[in-house]
Amino acid sequence: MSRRFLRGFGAAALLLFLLASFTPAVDLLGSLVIPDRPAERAEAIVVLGAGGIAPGGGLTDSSLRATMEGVNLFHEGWAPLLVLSGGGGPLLRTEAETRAKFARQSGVPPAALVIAGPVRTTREEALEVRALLEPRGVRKILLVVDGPGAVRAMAVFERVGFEAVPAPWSESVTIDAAPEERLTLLRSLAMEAIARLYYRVMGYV
Amino acid sequence: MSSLLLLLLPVATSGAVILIARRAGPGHRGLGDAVRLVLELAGISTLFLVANLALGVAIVLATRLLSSVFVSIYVLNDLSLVALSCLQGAVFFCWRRPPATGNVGGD
Repeated sequence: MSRRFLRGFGAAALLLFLLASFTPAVDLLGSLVIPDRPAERAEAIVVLGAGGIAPGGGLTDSSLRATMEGVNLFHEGWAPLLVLSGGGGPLLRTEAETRAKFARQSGVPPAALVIAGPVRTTREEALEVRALLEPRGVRKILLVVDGPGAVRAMAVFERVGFEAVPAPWSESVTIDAAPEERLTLLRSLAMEAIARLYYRVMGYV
Repeated sequence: MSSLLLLLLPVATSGAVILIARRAGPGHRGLGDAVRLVLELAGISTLFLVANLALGVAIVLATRLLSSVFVSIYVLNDLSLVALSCLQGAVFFCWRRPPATGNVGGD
């Protein structure tokens, strides 16, 4: 491989790094990709798996934050049902069950809680939630999902028959984020692009 | 503002070192040469990162398709892969450079 090519490739990589870290380019990209819509009333709030269970058995930060958002939306009256999803952890209790415990302690009545079985991917979540909500006649759902994953999640849930509306993302994209936050957002957007490509190839969206 | 400060720090320390080195007299490689070498190193490291990610995605998908084991693609979303790729790049950069003339062993 020629030195000239390597230098050009390296210059492009360093330029991308500088643009991503020290300009609002990634923030602007995020604001274009991540849906920013006000919440809408729905028949159920669905909190998707987000980070799973921490090694100690509790929820991870991202999972706890998503659960709190779901609980808040429920208490604000956006939907009469709260569906909690999330796969297995290192211990016996799944993310969904751990979230349900938190939701009950936060005042959500057990009758309003729906706990999804162990799932591993967004598509499995969509199929599981459909199996749980279809008998109840639920069609319109409010999805609580991290910002970069919202578009794919909405497409997957709509593919299995729901009308999906994204809940507002609490970590709103700002143009004055710190360089490290921008790089984290860039990584999330890149991973999401790979996931979206995979879902498209597999015919899930 | 904080971003600008972070950007100014390496510029300031680099400027100071360049001034000190110039006062110390000749005997250094030209700055342009150094920048070209760093770009080459960055290019090799980035190529390794791309290759590592592509291989990682292939392994994750193959594992899912060919066995009942589930591996999340998000395991690849880890900064350590970037660090390892940079390390790989540095090693291969040194490896493909012509050996220095003179004594390498240091004795």
